[in-house]
Amino acid sequence: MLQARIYQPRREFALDAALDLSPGAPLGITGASGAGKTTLLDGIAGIFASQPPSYVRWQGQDWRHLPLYRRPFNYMRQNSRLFPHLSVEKNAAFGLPPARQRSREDTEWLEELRERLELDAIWSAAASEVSGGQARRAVWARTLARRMPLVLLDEPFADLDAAAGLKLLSCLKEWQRRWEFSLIVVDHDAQRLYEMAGQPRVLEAGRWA
Amino acid sequence: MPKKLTTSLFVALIALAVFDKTAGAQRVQVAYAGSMTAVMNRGLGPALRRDLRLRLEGRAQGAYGLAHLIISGAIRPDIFISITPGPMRIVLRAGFARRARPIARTQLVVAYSPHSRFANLFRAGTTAWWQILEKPGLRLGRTNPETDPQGRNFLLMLRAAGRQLGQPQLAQAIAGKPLNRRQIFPEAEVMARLQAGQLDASAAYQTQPVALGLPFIHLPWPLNLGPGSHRALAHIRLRLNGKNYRAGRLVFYAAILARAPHPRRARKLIHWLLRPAAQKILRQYGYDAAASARPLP
Amino acid sequence: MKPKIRSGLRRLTWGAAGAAALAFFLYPFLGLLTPVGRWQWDAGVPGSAAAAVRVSLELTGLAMLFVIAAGTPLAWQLARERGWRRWLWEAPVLLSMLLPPLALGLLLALSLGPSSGLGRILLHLGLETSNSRLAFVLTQIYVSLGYYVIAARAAFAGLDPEWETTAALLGQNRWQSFRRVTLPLARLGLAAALSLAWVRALGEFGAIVITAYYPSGMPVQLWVNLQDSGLPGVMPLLVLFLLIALPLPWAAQILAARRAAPRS
Repeated sequence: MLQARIYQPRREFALDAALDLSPGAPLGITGASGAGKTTLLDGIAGIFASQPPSYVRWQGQDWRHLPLYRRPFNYMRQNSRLFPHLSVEKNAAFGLPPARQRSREDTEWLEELRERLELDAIWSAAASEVSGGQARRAVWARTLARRMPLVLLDEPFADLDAAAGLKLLSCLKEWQRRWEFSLIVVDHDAQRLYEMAGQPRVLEAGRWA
Repeated sequence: MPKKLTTSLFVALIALAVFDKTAGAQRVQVAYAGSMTAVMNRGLGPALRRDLRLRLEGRAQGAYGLAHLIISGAIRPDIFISITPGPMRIVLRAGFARRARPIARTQLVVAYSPHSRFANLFRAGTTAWWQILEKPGLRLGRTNPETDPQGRNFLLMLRAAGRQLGQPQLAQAIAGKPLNRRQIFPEAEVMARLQAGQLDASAAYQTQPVALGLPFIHLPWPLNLGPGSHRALAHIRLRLNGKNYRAGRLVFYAAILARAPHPRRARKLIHWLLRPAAQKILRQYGYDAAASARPLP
Repeated sequence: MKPKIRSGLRRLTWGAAGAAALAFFLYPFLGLLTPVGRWQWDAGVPGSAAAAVRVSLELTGLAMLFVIAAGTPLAWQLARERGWRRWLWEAPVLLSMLLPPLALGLLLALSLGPSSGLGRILLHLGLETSNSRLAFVLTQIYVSLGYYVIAARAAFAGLDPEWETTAALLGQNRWQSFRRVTLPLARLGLAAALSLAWVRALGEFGAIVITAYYPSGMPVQLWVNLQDSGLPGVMPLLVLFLLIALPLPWAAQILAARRAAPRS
């Protein structure tokens, strides 16, 4: 159960949006660019310290006193890039324990991500050698490899062509149902969100429309 | 990981200290005038190791600099060896030593470069030394008279020679102004420049060209500042920066320092220095016997 | 046609200026050709050159371990401070680089030497703080740490802070993200910083000649040889010094460059 309200004054308007998300439920958020979608996600994640009366409660507890690395979510940011000094494989497994200590479940999940996200061909390639679309898919793998009860995705389909986008959408739907994680997806494409999570919520100048 | 790193660094530090301690067994630390480097490293050091099983750790620097380092507590050697009484008096007056014994002496000479176009003139011995030094185009080197006794002694010697020869302009003709920038170099550099042929001749203590295998010519007594000359030259003065200087005794004095870390070894070393075996080595390196020189103070 | 000629001319001018600067760097090495008599590969002192090289390499290497261990976290911290706090943190670092080495040597000798309080305590523990390996290493650390920190700070500051956020979002704590992301991404700059510190420590003379005349490293041995046997004793050591000091920074640079390049 996620309950959050983020208040953050910005230059043209103040972002002030609250949301409740039941466990295992998906939520789509859309809106014009500059409406505050990314700020809302960053606020929930706690990338910046949001102003009162903001709150972020997970299972009834405010997690903002926890260090970033202890918070129980995966967050794929719009500008998430692969670590350039690591291979695609090492990037994908970055959030997992080292290979020797990894559970079989983790290993199998990583294998599945590799196959479904079509990373086989570039699996051992250096991150700096792969194309934009491949890098985006590798970032997907890196984000989802850690299985967390909450997943935040900011424009996850950017850099992907239409076909790849559709494919990933169905993967995401399947995984979300299987792992039952709560999911917030920000996308400018309301149609895609509708397929993923039903009626999306629309942010307009910092407030729900 | 950081813990492992810290631990290994700590172990390294301990190992360093322990290793140092075993290596430091039976060492004796001597601070001495820079001009003694050769005889210490190649002559006395090995002999000391053989005879007394002491490892000589020398520190060769300008004697005045060493004296000040010692009385400031920045360094704490067992023994200090100075040339001329001046630096030793600083140490004695500050109470860092009670008594300094003469161990050898040297004399002032004129060293020259074997590559010099004046080398043959020096070698022939038919032209007086001062006439060669007066030759136009001769590049003469000496040390800074403000800081180095050798530089002062050379100027004093030139004045004395001028007086003796009835040529009051002699010092001016050979050395120019006391602080003639074209002639003044650090002590170690003067000899190096002679070797490289960048200087034709230089003031030197006899021990320096002997150690380096450079040719040199003797000066007549009392101009060589040999035994008794400081009395003969007592009337010659050099005034520099408001201070009056007279010719010093070119005697090497050795003193055990009051705060010596190894006083027993220091005493052994001083005794040994005065014995014939060590004195013979000193002779080989161009040092003269201390002869009539008296202990300080 | 005309702009082409002009750009060609410009390139020529820059090339000539660069070549002149290089020639300036190399010119002093002509001094090695000066006839100074037979080079004495060992100035008659038992093992002097070999011992000096060993002392320099071993102890400078050890000093570098401490420089890395102490300097890296400090540099990282400095790269994150802003405004007056940064100046506050940086001031002591700059202070260590400001003094002429001789003055620094005197201060180190007075504050750590046997007549100082700390020196006396350490001496009781069997740690000699003057004319010892410990004094040698401490002096080297002191003189080179600042150079390492300043250069390493620049290397860290050049990194996008986004990388550390990304690592944190993937569950990595500060140390993990530093080790797995910051350090590898900054390694080129860190290698450059280390080679700077290495060269600085290896060549240190002014301070070490006061604090640790013994054990004689290469610079002090150069000085000893100059006084002992003059230039014929100095020249070989000079060549050795070049041969020894140069390859390590070079190797560090090359290694870092290769590691930074794509790898599988």
